[in-house]
This record gives sequence, structure tokens and C-alpha cells, in this order.
Amino acid sequence: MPMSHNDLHNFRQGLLENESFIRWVRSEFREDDEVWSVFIDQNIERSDEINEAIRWIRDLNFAHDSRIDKDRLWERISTSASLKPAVTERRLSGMRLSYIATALAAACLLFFLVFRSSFTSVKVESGLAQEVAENLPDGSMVHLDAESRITYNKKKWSTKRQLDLQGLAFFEVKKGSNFIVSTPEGRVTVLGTSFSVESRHGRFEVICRTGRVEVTSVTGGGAPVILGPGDKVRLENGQLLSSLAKDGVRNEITWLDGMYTFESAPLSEVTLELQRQFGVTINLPADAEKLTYTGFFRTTDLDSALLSVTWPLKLKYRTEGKKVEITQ
Amino acid sequence: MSDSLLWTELKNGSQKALRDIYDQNMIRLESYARKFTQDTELIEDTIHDIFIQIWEKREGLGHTDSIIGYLCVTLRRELIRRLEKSAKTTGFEYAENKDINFQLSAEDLIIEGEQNDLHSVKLHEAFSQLSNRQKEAIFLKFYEEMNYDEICEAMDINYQSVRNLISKGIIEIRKFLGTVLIAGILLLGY
Repeated sequence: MPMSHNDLHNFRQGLLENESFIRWVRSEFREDDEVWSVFIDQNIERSDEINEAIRWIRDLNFAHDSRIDKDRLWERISTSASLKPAVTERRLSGMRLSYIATALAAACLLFFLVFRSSFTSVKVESGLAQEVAENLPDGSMVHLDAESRITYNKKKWSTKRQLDLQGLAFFEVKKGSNFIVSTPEGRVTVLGTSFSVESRHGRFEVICRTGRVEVTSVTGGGAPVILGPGDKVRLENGQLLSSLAKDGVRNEITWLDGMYTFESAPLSEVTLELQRQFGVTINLPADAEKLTYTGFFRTTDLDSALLSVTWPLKLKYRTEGKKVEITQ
Repeated sequence: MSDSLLWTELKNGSQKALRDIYDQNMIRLESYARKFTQDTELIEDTIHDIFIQIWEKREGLGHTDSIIGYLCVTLRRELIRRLEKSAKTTGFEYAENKDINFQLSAEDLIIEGEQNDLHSVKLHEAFSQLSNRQKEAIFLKFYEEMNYDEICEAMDINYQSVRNLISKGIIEIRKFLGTVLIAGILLLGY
């Protein structure tokens, strides 16, 4: 059915004035991902108009105009509101005075020894059985799994959004310049999206939840891989192997919900994960290390996690405090 | 985390929520404030006071799904009140001209890709033709991502006026660009 000019106008104009659509385009197609992706699929014959609306929204883009020192203003606010000091400082005040004195002396020494700029390096770490969520200077979010660490340069962040990762982390990236996650195995470059990166014991895996992510292997194994929502890439024998959502399975980032999944993984890798998540030590008989496990465990309680790992492999386990013994 | 969840955490007294709200919105708030005044100290004081106010009155705050919307409405009201007050005491030009204008130059527009191509030059020109109110409504809509109700409240005008400011603004830009013939035809029937 041919459309009147008025319909055509209203369709495009309607999109242009829809704040949810605007937010979606502004966030590089992140928020309300499902809703608008489905909408576009259902209106495939109107993709020209949709694209025009997208272009308009991108054109009506305004520059940030900010000169206030953000950290200083925050300090003023938190003093006026008499907020308690941040967590890290609170921990400090709980420490014994002598520790503080030692730490201060060490800090002074470092000041003279180390080049000044290294003080702008920020490290965020999570311990055993601990998850940490942290805002980055541009409002992007990082969610660290247990025993993981990121480091970045706070001063350079406004010009270069780059951080080093060890362990497993999920990122929600605010739209802006390139955002780079470096690991010993590969580099992940994004424009504004959410995704998870794991880099541990030579294992490297990236799952994209929304938006687009580009992954390059450090060893230069093949061309960069572009991931869309639900796509996953893994490093195997120096090659990037991808599993794409369009081929059937949509890859989910399950660890954020406390679920750890494995596919033909060596049992030793699974027990390492259990150790990290529950802060226990696990004793595994040598001949069981070669077993492979497919399945998942949840971090809600240790007992059921151990059961879901050992039962399919016909293994037994015994716990004693923070020690776990797995037997045939 | 969604805005309504973050807001609820703030209401429950979470200092981290206050910090997150500050981190996520501070730059956009300042950018908006700068369209009314270049007095950095005044902007800083106003933003400071707004955050103190939402913290101290957190229990009595209403529900919101758009934190930036809420903050912009409050900021604009407070900023204009202070600008008017200082204009009165200093007896300067504002006293007569009650409207404190939203000033936005076309240079505030950033266009992806080539800066000097015909499209972007024309877009800048087209944008500078708009009235201050049209610019403000479009800025709130596209930069602050506010919905119509919030823009109504911020600009203190009714719903239909906001809709008109935005859709006519867009049509005017499109007309000026002249690239879309249909837009021209449509204007007649509008």
C-alpha cells in the first residue's frame, strides 16, 4: 500500500521525537537494545527512514561544555553533606597507627623515587570470593569478578580510555572515544557498549552483550573479529575462535548473575573457579585433573556448587572448614 | 543500574548512589548551566546546593525514571532565580528584560565525520536560524535526553508548546537543508 506523504513524515518525525529511540541511538544502540532491534526487524521496509532518523539524531549532537574540577566539587559536596569518607579510607582508619606511619613513610619514599605521573595510575582490585563494581572517570562502569584487577591512568583517561585487565570483568562503556581493554593475550576496542573480558592463565574470552566490540589477538593470530550482541570469541592455540549469535546460540554473560558455565573444560579449571568464588582450597586427585566438565555452578552456596560439579563426574567431595577434598 | 533503582537507593540513604548520580550527571548539568551564564562560581555553587538538597531531603523525594531530567529542572529553576536576584541587586540589564536567555551557538553542535563538508556547514547555518526557545527544547531533547513532560517543567510551558518547538525546529532545519524535498511539501500541509 503506497503511503501518503503525511504517513511518511509522521513515522520519521515520530522516531526523531521519541526519547527512548534517541537514548538508544545516543548510547550506540545499547539501552532498550531488544525493543528497538525488534522494531527495526519488523519495519525492515522502512529502513531508509529509520536510518535517516538515526542520522538526524547523530547530527543533533552537542559538545560537553565543562570546566569545573569534578573531584574538587565532589569534595565540597561531601564535606557539606558530612558524608563518611569513602570505603578505602574507612579501612585505613581501622588500621593500627603504626601501619599508617609505615605506609606514609613508604609513600614519601616512593614520591621521590618514582616519576610523578605514575601517581595518577589507579588500580582497582577484587579479592577472593569478592565482586567489585566501580565507576571509571567518564562514568563507564566496570564490574570485577573475584581475584581480578584493572589499572588505568586517571590523568590521561579523558584523552585515552585504556586500561589493563587481569582476570574477569564486565564493562558498560559510555559513548565516546575508543575504549580499550588490554590483556597479555589480546586487545578489545569498543565505542560504547557492554561486554565481558576474561584473561586468566592464558585463557582469553570476550562476550559482547550489547553494541559492537572489536577483538584483536596480541600474537596476531588472524584478522580482528567484530562481535555483536550475544557473540563470543575465545583464544585457542593462538587463534581467535568465534561463536556468533546468528549461528544459533546467543552467548550470555552468566557470571554477573552468579552462574559459572563450562564447556568441556578441564576439571582443574573448574576447581580453580570454585576456589576463587568461595575462597576455599580444593584438593583434587591427580587422575581427576584430566576429566572434563560441562555444566555450571552457582555461587549461592558451596555445597550445591560442589555437588553440581562432582555429581556428573561420579566424584565425591568432603568439606572441612575452608578445605575441600574431592575423591573418586 | 536503571535510574529509578539508583534513585531509590539514594532515598534509602546510599552515599554511593549519591556519588554515582554526581558522576553520571555532573558534566551534562554543567553544560546546560553554561547556556545561561558563564559564571563558573555561580554554576558550581548552584550544583553544590542541589546535591546537598537532594541528599538532605532524600526521604521526601518523589519517584523519577529520569534523574538527569529531575536535576535539569531543578538546576534551571535555581540558576535563573539566582541570576535574576543578582541582576536586581546590581541593577543590570536583566531587571528590565525578565527573560534570561538560553544561549547556544551553532558551534556547540558536533557533527560526526568531516567537519567541513557541505552537510555540516548547512546544518550549522540551519541551527543558528532557530529561536532560543527552539534551541533549548532541542538541546534538552537531544543532549539531555529528556522527555516532553520534563521539558515542559523545565521551560515552564505547556506540553503542546514543547511539541511544537521541537517538531517545528526539526522541520525548519530540514527545510533549510533543502535536501529532503518531502519536508518542503509537508510544511504546506502542516
